[in-house]
This record gives sequence, C-alpha cells and structure tokens, in this order.
Amino acid sequence: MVSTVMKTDTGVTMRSNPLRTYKGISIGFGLLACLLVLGALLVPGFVSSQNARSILLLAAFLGLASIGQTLCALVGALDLSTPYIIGGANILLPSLMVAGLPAPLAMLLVLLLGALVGATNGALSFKLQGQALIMSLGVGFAAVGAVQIYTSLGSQFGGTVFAPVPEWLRNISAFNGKFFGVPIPPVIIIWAVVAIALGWLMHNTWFGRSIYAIGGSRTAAARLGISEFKVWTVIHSVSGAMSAITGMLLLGFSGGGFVGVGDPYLFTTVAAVVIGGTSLLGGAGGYGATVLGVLVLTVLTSLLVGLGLSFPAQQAVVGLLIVPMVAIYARSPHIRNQI
Amino acid sequence: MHNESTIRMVDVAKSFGETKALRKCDFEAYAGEVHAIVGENGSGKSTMAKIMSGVLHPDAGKVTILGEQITSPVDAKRVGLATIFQEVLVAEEASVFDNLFVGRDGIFCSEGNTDDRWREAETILARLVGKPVDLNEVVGRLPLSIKQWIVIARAILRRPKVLILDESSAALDLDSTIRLHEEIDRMRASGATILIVTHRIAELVRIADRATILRDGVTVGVLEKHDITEANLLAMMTHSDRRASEAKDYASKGGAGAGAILTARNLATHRTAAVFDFDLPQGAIVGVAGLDGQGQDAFVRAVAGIAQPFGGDVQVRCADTGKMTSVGTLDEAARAGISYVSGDRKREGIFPQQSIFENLAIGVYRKNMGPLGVIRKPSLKPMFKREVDRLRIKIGSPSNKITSLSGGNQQKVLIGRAFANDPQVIVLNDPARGVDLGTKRDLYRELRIFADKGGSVIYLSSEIEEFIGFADRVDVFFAGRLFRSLSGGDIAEEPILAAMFGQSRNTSVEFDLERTA
Repeated sequence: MVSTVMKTDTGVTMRSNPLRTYKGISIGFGLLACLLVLGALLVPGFVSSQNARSILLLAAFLGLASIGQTLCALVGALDLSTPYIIGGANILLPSLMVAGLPAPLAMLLVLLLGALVGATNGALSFKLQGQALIMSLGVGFAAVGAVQIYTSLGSQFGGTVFAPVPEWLRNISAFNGKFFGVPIPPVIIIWAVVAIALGWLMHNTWFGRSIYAIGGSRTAAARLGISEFKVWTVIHSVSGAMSAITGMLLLGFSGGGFVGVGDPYLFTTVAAVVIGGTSLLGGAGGYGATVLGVLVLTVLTSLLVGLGLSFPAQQAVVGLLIVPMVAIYARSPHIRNQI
Repeated sequence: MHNESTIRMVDVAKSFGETKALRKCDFEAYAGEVHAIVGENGSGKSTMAKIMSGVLHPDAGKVTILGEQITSPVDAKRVGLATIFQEVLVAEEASVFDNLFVGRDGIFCSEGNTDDRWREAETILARLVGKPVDLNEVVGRLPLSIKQWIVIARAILRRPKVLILDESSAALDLDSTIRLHEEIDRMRASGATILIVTHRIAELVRIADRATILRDGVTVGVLEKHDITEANLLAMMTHSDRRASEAKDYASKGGAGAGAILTARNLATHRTAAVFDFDLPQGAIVGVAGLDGQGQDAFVRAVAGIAQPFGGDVQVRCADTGKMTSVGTLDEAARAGISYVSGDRKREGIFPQQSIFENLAIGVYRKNMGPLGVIRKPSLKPMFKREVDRLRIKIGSPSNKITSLSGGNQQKVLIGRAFANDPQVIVLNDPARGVDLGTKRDLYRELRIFADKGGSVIYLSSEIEEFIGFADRVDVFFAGRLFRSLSGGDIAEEPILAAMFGQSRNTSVEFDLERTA
C-alpha cells in the first residue's frame, strides 16, 4: 500500500467577514459622509439647520415613496406605477375636496384607491410575470388617465387642480411646518417613525420573512406553503397606498394639484433602492438600506444645486452614479460563482 | 511505472476569507489514467478541481497542467483541459447541437465543418444516452438526465487531454453511470487523463486507477489500484480505522409499530402508468428506489403534497383522532404532519441570503406567531440549539449566512427544519446527494431514532448502498409504478438492482402488472 500520510490539524473555523456582510451599508455610509464633507467644503451654507431641514423634507417624500419600491425589489419585482399614482393622488385629492368631500374622508378614499390600484397591479404583474414591468407601467398609466378624466369633468384641463388645502395638511409637508412647536416639518417625523417600524416588522413578522424567502428562493418558499401570489399582491398594494400618501403629502408641500408631480419619482425610487444596496434580483437588502440610498440621493442633489449645476447636469451626474452602484451590488456573488 | 505527468500541484494553498479550503495540497496525475480525488465535504476537492480548471487562483504553491501554468478557464481550454461541473449548465432555449458546440467558434470564424461535427455529436450522444437524440431539439424540452449528458458530451467533444468530472455522475442513475464508465475507459485508452471528484465510493472503486485522498485541505495519501477499497478510503478520509461495513448499523432493532400511518390507493404517477397501492407502517423507514424517471420522484412528491398524482388518493392517520384523512395539497400535508426534505437543496431548500437560524427556523415561524404575525424568535432559540446539537451541525454564529456552511451542513440545516416541525412522517427525496459520509451517518442515526420513537420515514435515494443496513423495506419503482417491495435479507445490492431493471424474481412479492385504474 503506497500511502503517504501527513499530519493535519483539524478544526476549520468559519466566520463570515463582517465588512463583507455589511458591504452595502458601509459603502452607503461612506458615500454619504463624502458628500457631506464635499458639501461643507464647497458650498457655503451647506451645513446649516435650514439646509438640513430642506434635505430631510425632500428625503421624507422620496423615502415614503420608496417603501413600495423596496418591498417589490425584495421579491425581484419593480413597481413602475409609482409616479402615476403619486400624480393621480395629487390631483384627485383636491378635486374630491372641491366636490365637497371633507378632507379626511377624501384622503381615506384616495388611500384606498391607491391600495386597490396597487393590488390590481400586483395580481396582474404576478400572473404575467415576464411582462411585470410593462404591466405596472400600464396599470399606472390607466390609473392616472382615469383620474384625469374625472378631474377634467366640467373643466378645461384636468392636469392641474386648485383647491384650498387644509392648514394641517400644509403644516405636515411645508418647509416651515412645525411639529408640536418644534420647527421640523412633521412629515420628517412621520417618515422616521414609519422607517423604524417597517425595519422592525420586516425582520420580525411572518409577512416580512415571507418577502425575503420569496426573494431568496421561490421554489423553497413554495415548499413552505408561502403564496407568492398573495405576497406580490399585498406588497404592490402597500406600494400603491404609499404612493397615494406621498401624492397627498406633496399637495400639502406645493399647495396645488399637478399631475406631473410624481414624474421624478420613477427614477429616484428605483435609484434609492439600488444605491442603498437592495438587490433588484430579490432576497437581499431592506428598507434601512433604502433610507441610506434616499439620503445619499437627496444630499447629492442638494450639493449639485448648491454648486450651481443646471438640471440637465444634475441629471447626468445622478445617472452616472447608478453605473458603479449596479456594478458593485447587482452582480451578486452566487451568480459570479456559478462558473 | 507511469506515463508522462499531465498535472502537477505542489504545496498549493487557497483560502476564502478565514476559511482555509486547501492548506497543503500535492497532486500528480499521468496520461492514460483514471484518477479519483476523494474526501469528505469541505475537504477541498472542489476547490482543487476549480484551481486546475483555472477558475480559482491558488494563494500559494505551483500548478502545472500539461507543462503550462494556467491562469484562466480560457487558458485551460487552450492547453486541452475540459471540466464537467456538478451544475447542469445548459442554454435552455438553444438547440442540442448549439449547446454541444457552444464557445467553440469565434463570431466570424469556425474551426470545424458543420456536417462532421453533426455526425460526431450524434454518435457520441447516442452512445452516452443509449438512444439517438435529435440535435435540433430545444434543450429546455429535454429531461434533466439528457441535459446532464449534453454537458458531458460537450466536454468529450473537445477531445481533451485532461478531463475533470466534478461530481458529474451525481444526477445519473446506475445504468447511465455504466455508460459513462465505458466512455471514460475509451478516453483512458486514447491516453487522456481523467480526474473524478466524487462521493460515490463504490463507483471509484470500480474505475479508478489511482486515488488521491484529501482531508481538511491536505493531501493525506495516494492509493494505487489494488489498494482502492472502501475500507482503505474510509479510513484515510476520516482518519480512523473504522471499516466500511461497520460504518453503518442503523437497521431497525425492534419491529415496526402497529398499523399504517400513511396509505396510498390506486395511485398513478403518470397518465399512462399502471396504478398501485402503498402503505407506510408507523415507525418504519421505507426506502424508495428506481432508475432515473421510473415514477419514484413523482411518488414521493405526491405523498408530500407537493405535486398532484395523476390519480388515486393519499391518506394519513390524524395524530389526535386516529382517523385517516386525505392529503392532496401542501397545506393538508403540513397539517397532517408530513415534512419534506429535498436533496436539491440549492433549488428548493435553502434561502441563500439568509442566516443559518432563519433557514432552520423558518418552517416553524407560523406556529410561533403573536398578534400581527410577529414571530416569537427568542422562543425558538432552544429549538434551534436542540436541532444543531442533535444533527451535529458545525456552525459558527447562528446569524452567519447559510452559504458559509459546507454542503453537508447546509443539508443538515434543512433536515433540522423538517424535524423542527415535529412531524409524524418525514419524506426525504435523495437527501444525501453530494454530501459527505459523516453527514450521511448522522442522518441515518437521527432518522432511526426518529423511527424508534414512532415516526415514519420515506427515503428516496439514487444510491443503493444507502438502503443497506438502514431501511426496513425498500420499494422499487419501475415503469411508473411500485414494482417490488423488498425487506429483510433482500435489502442488498443484487435484489434491489434486479428489481430496478424490472427483472422478475419468484422469491419476493410481485404486484399485479395488469391492474389499471
């Protein structure tokens, strides 16, 4: 028997590298810190409570609108109806108030309609999965079109609607809004509370875990009896409801309904998700990451504005930021290791 | 006396983060030999194969392949090395022909004549599959076994000087394995070096000329042909002198409990298959065997409520009332206390981005929910610890990702998930596919303990050796139906094999072949 036996010491320890585990988060934080330092150095008045307030205010709208997008990304979907539902809600609410509905009732109705459109979107997107993207776009288009047909009844143009906005709604979203006397727009507080609650719920509820399970492995989730259809419908419904809420809050911010108010949110919600580090392929990431992405995006925009860049130049810079981000995150390790 | 050396590795080391996959690996293979690389899961076999193929780069040491240093997979192909990986990598929407010759041509140039290629491909594929395959067919419409053959044929068509098979026969049934071995013999005769990375000891005892044994990333020895025996391999892999025959002694000590806990009546696995009945006695471990695609897979899926059978009824005895209730859906099966463990853990088992804890406990989350669906995670910690201890799962922190574990330990986590549900019946679909011996032993032991406490087990395996010394009964499937039930002394290689090939034998119970629905 020809055998060469060598001594070995056994006991291989396995520990995952914490830096790698939180790679997305650390890059996000690093980026945010860089932007803040750059802003402080380059833009006079960048570090001020005024600027912080305006950044957080804009971040709050984007943050609320990105909730649905994050949930969808976690199962590998994208909700492209977001800008249309935001725009639709933004004109439907004043229109309903003009029609004589009390504000709280009108808001509830808009919220429910948003959720309903979202649920329809989710159900259809799931049933026609290969076409999920165009499906959500189509549902959004249909919804915003229907709303404009309604708002244009008896008027020339349905895209802009003016109505007296209740003072409390204005206070929630306005730059000079006050939260119990403190000069912080309440929408920022609302966003913070929702973000913390959502982060906790995603990790500790069956619903949250089912989303991660489906994003991680559809077949394995199915073996556990998790209904993919139900989860898709519910998260799109949440997405629709959050878009409707964002649209209504933006009414308080601007004072008048305009259907195009949601347009920037198509790109920015997806970008916030990607910059935060949630994989568009599903399963990894979370709302905490998206919050970071929202802040990076908003601070960057504020910096570019402060530097005096024109809107097209801002667009170019923000767009270019996406390329390295996708290169870093979206090539998930299990895909790279397959060959 | 050896021919010229084709592969040489000296003092090769490779780490992934803090995990040392290879510590000090030496290896040499020669032209015209079949060389097996053996070791338990996590011993570094696959890493070694990947280094040779140029997929990974060693941290230290020297690798020479056919006299050259390889730096990339393209480089490896250039010098004449082909690797068949464990995963079945095919382009589902392309034709068989395109799949066979993928990557051979540039965009504007082709090195071969299409007609010659076509003939050559047809010959080799027919030889491997055992019947002609239409090269125009879209691969996605072919069964998995043929896809596996396409991957193998793709490598052989390159006429490699060195061929590496990394667990490539894991998905093949016995009959196919024989054909693969014939092909390997043919290549050896033409002077090629064939490296086989495998867990199937019986297989390599049959065909390997030499075997290199790895343990914890270190080459612990090289065996010549006449020394390659199960006992020797086991001893070197586990570094103990335990003999192979002693490695497994998990057969039933007492009799099975009274009555059937699960029955299937007039079951049909396929539209045209004959119907059959099945009974699972309480406290029994019933093995399910069969050649590839004989209905055994559809059967265990039907019993577990995952797929509907084409006909018939599955009933399970209710734990509380003792009444038999029908099981047709996954929900009903879960309520009746049936747990399912798949051997295809990558596809239908693990959640790769989630923690070890989550992967084990997710199956019982729903049973431990408060208002608003809030999971009582802290209350699951004792359960987690219990399963980890009993299955001897080697983990670091429970919050580490499941993918930080070796394949065998991942499989143990999935078995822990099944146990955590406190089931009456566990259905296992080839759970030991690609896992090491230590894991298998732990699995057999725990299933026997489970059965002794009154649980019942249905265990599908593609390796006959698994049943011996373990199963109380082996139900062999043939032509889509339960063909023969073997028990006692008939649970041995020869009778099981005979039944798998549908050979009639008078000594055991025959089912009526003609009965139909």
